[in-house]
Formats: sequence, structure tokens, C-alpha cells
Amino acid sequence: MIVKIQRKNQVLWIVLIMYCIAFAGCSSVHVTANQASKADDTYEKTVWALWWGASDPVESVDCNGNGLQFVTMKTNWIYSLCTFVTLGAVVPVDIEYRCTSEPLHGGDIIGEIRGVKP
Amino acid sequence: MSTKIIVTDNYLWTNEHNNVKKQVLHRYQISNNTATQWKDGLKGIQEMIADVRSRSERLRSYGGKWSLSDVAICNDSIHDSKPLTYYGPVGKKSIIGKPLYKDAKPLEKRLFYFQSGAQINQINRALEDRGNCLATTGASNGQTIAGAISTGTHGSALKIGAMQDYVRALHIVTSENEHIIVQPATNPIINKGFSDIFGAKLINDDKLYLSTLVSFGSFGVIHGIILETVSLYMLETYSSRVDYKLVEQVFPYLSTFDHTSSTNLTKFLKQIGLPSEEDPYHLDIIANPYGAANNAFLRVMFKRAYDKSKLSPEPDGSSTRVGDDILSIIGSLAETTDLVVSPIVNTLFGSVAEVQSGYTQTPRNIFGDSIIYKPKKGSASTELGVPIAKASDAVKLTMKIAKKANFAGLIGIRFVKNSAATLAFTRFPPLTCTIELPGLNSSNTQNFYQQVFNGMDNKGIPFTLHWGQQGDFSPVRLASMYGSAVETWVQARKVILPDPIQRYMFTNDFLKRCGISESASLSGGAEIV
Repeated sequence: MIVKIQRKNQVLWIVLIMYCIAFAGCSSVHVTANQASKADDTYEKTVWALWWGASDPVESVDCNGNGLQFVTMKTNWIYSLCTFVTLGAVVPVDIEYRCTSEPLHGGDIIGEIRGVKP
Repeated sequence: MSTKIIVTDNYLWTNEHNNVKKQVLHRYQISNNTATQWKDGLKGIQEMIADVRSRSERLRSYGGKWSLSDVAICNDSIHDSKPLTYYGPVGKKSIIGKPLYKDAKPLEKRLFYFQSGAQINQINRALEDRGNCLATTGASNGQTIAGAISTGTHGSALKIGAMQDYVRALHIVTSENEHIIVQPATNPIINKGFSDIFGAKLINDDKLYLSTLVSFGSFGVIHGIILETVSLYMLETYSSRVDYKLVEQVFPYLSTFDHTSSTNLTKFLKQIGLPSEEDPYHLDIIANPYGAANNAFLRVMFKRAYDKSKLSPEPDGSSTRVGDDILSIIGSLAETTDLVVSPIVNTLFGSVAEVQSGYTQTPRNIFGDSIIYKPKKGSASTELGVPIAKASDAVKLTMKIAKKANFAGLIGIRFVKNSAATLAFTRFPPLTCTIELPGLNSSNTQNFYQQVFNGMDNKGIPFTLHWGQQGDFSPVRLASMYGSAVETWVQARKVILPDPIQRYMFTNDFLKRCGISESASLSGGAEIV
């Protein structure tokens, strides 16, 4: 009886661990600019933070003078395992970002001077 | 070629909801030169058309990539309209039409020309700075103005209609040598002097104008749109969770909706316990097919004159807003929920916008940002338009099928004044009830949609489908949805684009599936002996 309960607990633990590992891939952080217009392209890349902060990645983004619409940082169970195994010396992170589009350019009144009768 | 045109070859196009992907040959991005305002943008479009035509390719212009179908995309050349962001007021001397809306401001203070790439959030901000706003928008703000109009985007402003209904004229580039400004012959808005400024041919024609309004890029590349805006207003919002049985009592009142009355719904509002002095400007319902009690979320909004001192704090962007797009709420569902749909949907329904009483903001902040989740299989959504008299039966049927089909999603119900646009899916008078079914993209969801369409057919409930969402767009379905209006639209396209090569250029797979593309018809011959 006791053995059966222990086996049942083991199975539960395994299921729980598998569940946690599977859902680790869902971990992400979104930073979005409020009511910002979007450019067309989204960029994705993996960056590596190394040696406990001694070599953190610095990403330079060319948005033609416009800002960023959003930045997302994602991790998954492989990255988490990598961080765990290297005792935090290697921290991979997937980043995704998009620029804002050109702002609206308001012009003069159209047809105020040149307007003619139909 | 102009230096303001960037061409990206072999471009992988993906829509915002991650359910449509296309590898295209060329993507064009055309920018204005600030000094010359709109001129470089217009010239660039003409150069692009010449370039695409020289390769005998097809061309499609797209905007915010908000559609859940391939309506805005083709396989050959595509045009990202978002860099075209010029706008300006239309001068009094150019205006010859009467206003659509009663407003304290004269029309010349409310009429604007926007280039096609202006995004709703940009327009909202620009107009608000001038003390104006759009009469209605969809629940989110990521579309471009041309994209939103071309697919019939709508909100739930009961007496306004969909977004194409406040368009006064469209400026369309039809070939490398010609561009037109098309407006109705009845109450046209601008004179020839205005179109001469752009060098465009002015067309005053009701049929042509109404056909071009909802045409998903099939009449050429839209360069600009003249919009009638309204004075800036505030929306005072109330929302509550109630039993669907209670909410469905609104349908009889809506069935006899009189657009000239301001007390159509006051009795209903009183029954629910909401402010009941006048009709709300906006009313919508989110229904949970799995809940038994408190399974409906009712939102009503009253229009108030703008008064800065009465504004509630602006939303911070992280909280769920009262005007949230349902698809963004659905997107937060995990992907592995097929086995536990009903508890997950119940939980999700609990997180739908907070119950609010009197929250007051401008439309820009009520219908603001939506977080777009991107599940691997993408999001899915279809939206039906049904006559208001049949709406109660249609919603009941949809809820029943949703439960049976284990649909991982909620049901959004809105009400829109009928539109005169030839292919407007909000075509049923006096109100079209729209039933939106956002969910996760899966075979189960797609099967559910088909079951809903079949169910409506079996019950004899006529319906249309939102052009920017998924669904059955076969020629047979189109004929049953729009009848002779389809042929009217096809003929109008032949007038605007007289050259078959032009019509070929602005055709895509979506149009072919609809059976309204430019393709040679079979010609029957004599008996072959």
C-alpha cells in the first residue's frame, strides 16, 4: 500500500516537473509604448549575457529616428537549463522588437487658395 | 526610380495575428519627402505600379496587417502603405457638400484628407490635438485608415455605422498614368479645384463611390481618403456582468430601432439598472457560452461633450480596458487548452474588462491599444452580420453550437447602423448585429465556424461575413450574402479599371476564391462531333 502511494507520488512529481518545463517556454516580458504606431518589420534575435554581468549584450537599433513600439524578452526551458548548468555564467535570452512608424505629418489647408468652383 | 522607394525582395509577410504567412516577391515601401508633403508619395505609387506592371505581376497594398484572412495580400508585389502619413484639413473653398453629422463646428473644421498609411492611433492623436475625433472606430487602434475602411471595420456606435460611412471621398491610383478622386454624385464633398491640386480625375458617381468604399484594395492603390470627423467628445462608460437571459431582452428594442429617436433603449437600460435618460452611443455584449449565471458582459457608453475636467485618469496600458478588443483577450489563452476549454474560457471571461461605472475618457483612450498575443498556430476569428430581427435566434444558436463544439473562445455581439456601401457586411437595416467569434486557430475552431454557418443556413437566418476575418467566401456564399450587389461591384470595378491588365494587377487569391477576380470565363462552343 505504502509503495503504491509512493509510486503515485513519484508519477505526480514527474508530471508536475514535465508540466513546469513545458510551460517555461511561455515566459516572456513585454514592454510596449502606449498608443504608438507601428513600422512593418519585427526583428528577433538571441542575445547572450555572459559572466554574471561582466559581458552583458548591448543592442543598437536603427529606427530612422523613430522610437521603439515594443520590446519582448523571451526565455524557454533550454535557456533556463543552460543558465542553471553554467551557474548563471551564460544567460541566453530571445529578444523581439519593432520600431514605431513615421509620425503623421500635418500640412497646410489643402485647397484653401486654389479652390475653384465646379 | 525615386529614392524614396525601398524594395525588399523575397519578403516573408505575416499578419499581426500570426495566422497568415506569405512569401512574396517584392515589398515596396514609399515615403513622402516632408518638404513636398504628399507629392513624393503619390509619385512613388505611380512609379511602383509602372514597375510592377513591367513585370506583369500583381500588386496589393496593405496597412496594419490587422486582417485575419489573406484579403490584403498577394503573392507577387505588395505595398506597405504605413510610411504614407501626410494629412491636412480640406479648405473651405474646396468644399461643396453638406455635413453628414450635426455638429457645433462647421464642416471646414472637421474635414480632413489623410494619406492611406495613417494609423488609427496616429489619427486619434492628431485629431484630438485639433479638438476633433473619428465618429467611431473598431475596438483597437492598430489598423491604417485605408485598411480599416476597405474591409468594413466597425465599432458599436448605434447611430453612426461602420468606418466607411464617414468617408466622403477616396483618392485612388489606378495606373501609372491615372489617379482618381471618387465621391458620390449625391451630396459630393469637394470641387474640381481640389482634385486639380493632386492632378486627379474627379468622378462623381453614387454606384462607383459605394463600390470602392469596401473593396479591399481591388480598385487600385488608395493614396488618400477624405474623412468627415466630429467635434471631440467623451464616452461615459458603464459595464456589468449579468445573466445572458437578462441581456437578450435588448433584442426586441433593437429590432424596432429608430435612428431619429433618442429613447429606443431607455426601458431596457432601466430594467438592467443602468442610466436610462437616453439611448447609449455605444452598446455591446460579450457572452460566455459555458457559464450559466452572470455569463454576459454588457457595456454601454454615453456620448458627452468634451470637458477636460471630467476626464477619468488615462488607462496605463497594462490594465484591461472597458473597450478592449475581444481578440486580444482571447489571445491570452494558452495553446494547450483543448482538453480543458470550458474552465479556461470561464476563467478568461472573469478577466474581461473590469466592471465600471462612469469611467469617462475620449474615444482614443476607450478604444486604445490591444496587446497582440502570437500563439504558434495563430489566432482565429470570424464575424457574422445578421439582421437585427434575427439576432436573438442567431446568438442563441451560436452559443449552443459553441458549447457543443468545445469552442475555445468568447462571443462578441455588437450593433451597427446599416451601411450603403455595396459590399458592406453591415448591410441590414436598421441595425446589423455582428457576432464575432475570436478563438485560437485550430481545426476545432475552423470546424466550429463551419457548423455555425451551416446552422444559420438550416435555420434560414441570412448572414454576411466580415471581410477582414475568416470564413466562407465562396462564390455561392457571396451570392447568398450580397445577391445582385456582387455584380454591381464587379461592373463598377470594370469602369474604374477598364484595362483587363489593371484588373489582373489588383487581383489576389482571396478575390479568386470569391469568384470576383479578373479571370477569363469559359466560352461554350458548338457540339463537338
